[in-house]
Amino acid sequence: MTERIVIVGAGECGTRAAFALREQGFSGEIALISEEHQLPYERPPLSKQALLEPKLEPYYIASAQQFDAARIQLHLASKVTAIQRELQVITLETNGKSQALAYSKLLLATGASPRKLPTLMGIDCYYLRTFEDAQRIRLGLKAGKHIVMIGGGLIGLELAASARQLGAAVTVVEADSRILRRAIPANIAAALAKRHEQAGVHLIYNGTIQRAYQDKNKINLVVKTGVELRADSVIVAIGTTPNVNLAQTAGLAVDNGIVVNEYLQTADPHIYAAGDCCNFLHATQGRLRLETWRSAQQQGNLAANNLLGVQQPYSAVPWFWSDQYELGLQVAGLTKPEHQRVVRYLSDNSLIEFELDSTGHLVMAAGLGVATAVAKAIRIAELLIAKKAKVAPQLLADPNLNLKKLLK
Amino acid sequence: MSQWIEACVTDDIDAEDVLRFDYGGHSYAVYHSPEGEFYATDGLCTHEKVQLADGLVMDNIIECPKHNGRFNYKTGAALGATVCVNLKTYPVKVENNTLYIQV
Ligand SMILES: Cc1cc2nc3c(=O)[nH]c(=O)nc-3n(C[C@H](O)[C@H](O)[C@H](O)COP(=O)(O)OP(=O)(O)OC[C@H]3O[C@@H](n4cnc5c(N)ncnc54)[C@H](O)[C@@H]3O)c2cc1C
Ligand code: FES
Repeated sequence: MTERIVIVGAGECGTRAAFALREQGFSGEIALISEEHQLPYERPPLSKQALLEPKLEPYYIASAQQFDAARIQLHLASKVTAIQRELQVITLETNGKSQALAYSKLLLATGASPRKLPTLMGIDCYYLRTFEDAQRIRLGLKAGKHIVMIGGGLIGLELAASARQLGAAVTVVEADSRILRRAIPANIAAALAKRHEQAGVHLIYNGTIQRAYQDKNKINLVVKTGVELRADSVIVAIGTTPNVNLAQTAGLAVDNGIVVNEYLQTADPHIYAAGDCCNFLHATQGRLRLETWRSAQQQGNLAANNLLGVQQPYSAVPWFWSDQYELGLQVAGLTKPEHQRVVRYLSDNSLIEFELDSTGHLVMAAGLGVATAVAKAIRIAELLIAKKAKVAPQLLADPNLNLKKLLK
Repeated sequence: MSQWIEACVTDDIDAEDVLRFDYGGHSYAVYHSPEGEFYATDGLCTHEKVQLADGLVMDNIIECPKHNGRFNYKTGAALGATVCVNLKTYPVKVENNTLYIQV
């Protein structure tokens, strides 16, 4: 029998894994299965630049010809509904028709879905994950409309920036006393919040939604702070939950993600999981579920290698970027409240905030600046973090010190 | 018609680093290799329109500041995954510590 690797989910991770299998010389069959209707596309533009273009178009990850050339069988509009592990067979449903597909190895790259806000049950509101979600949201983003974003996370803030750039009035309701507590340190968060306020975004902190009701075409939101908001569109971006149903039903361990080891392998040696859907053992950071574009790609590559028998652990320094207005944010490493912090001020809107652990090792660097102005510094910081470098705080704080010197 | 354009003085670029240079509405990136040689390529990444000069140079490689696509700046070769379209390269020459590129 020819070998067949089946990949469930054709997002950033699954798609990368499929191509990586070929790049690594795998010659058997590759089936890449997506419940979505279009060719695999990039999600990051959906909250940012794609919304600002005259016509919203998907940014495809690869063309139909590239899938053909790599002999990747792409099953679109097809949902995997079951895994029979003892038989190594999945069930695939396409347009109401059911089909069984045998696998020698299986990769779950099912991604995540927006977390729903129970208070808004029955109210028309938007969530953003897919191209179709972005199309629906885009219709409401125009001058004269009031958009309320629930959640001051990365996607919420990117959408807020895009909505302002399209002329809509924007209120962001954040439950915490500051934005982005889990993702970035306080000084960077403050600079970003300031930029939003300059752009006319109304930021409400400590703002849980107590009640919501609809009248005519408006949605009214009663916020805990006592404020009542009247919105034309409400967009909820309060985080995600990993898509684990398929794995769970098949009896695989699930705990905020499909549980895998450092090789991205589940307890079933034939089944791996990678990308936003997995809770993996990071070589230095313990258990993590990352939801970033780069980790989805890296894990796709790594899972492909390991499916082919390599056994490489995932050890990359977590990294993500975000674009809001003219500003680019880049973050390497993970921020933690107990870290020591050092700030390097570069210019008005531009700064880098570093974090050191209790033994003086650089563990996180977050930078904010116009476009990719801080990219080089953050990339060098990432290499320093990976090298477990100890760096004196005064060197980090000095804007005239080229960080590259510390790498040598 | 191609012509030699003055891009910068050689001291402007550290060894193993890159500098942006704009001319005629077009961005270029000029490089100083660790061996002390100079090179020039298009300034924008072939993936999205991002200034490569904000990226990190390591040996022969420029890494895009946005998604870490990598190019060999000496040949323009795209080195995989995110970037698959090669970068255009341009001839350079140094005269009296001034770097010229042929565009
Ligand atoms: C709007 C938006 C903006 C973002 N911006 C950034 C950013 O600026 N920077 C950054 O670092 N990251 C960003 N991200 C995060 C990044 O896009 C994700 O981390 C990445 O897409 C994860 O890839 P994935 O393949 O693991 O999951 P996904 O991209 O979610 O793909 C999973 C796919 O699997 C499909 N699927 C699930 N179950 C089944 C099934 N049973 N059968 C068939 N198909 C199935 C899903 O429908 C989906 O298509 C953003 C995400 C969003 C939504
Ligand atoms: S813009 Fe350069 S790799 Fe994406």
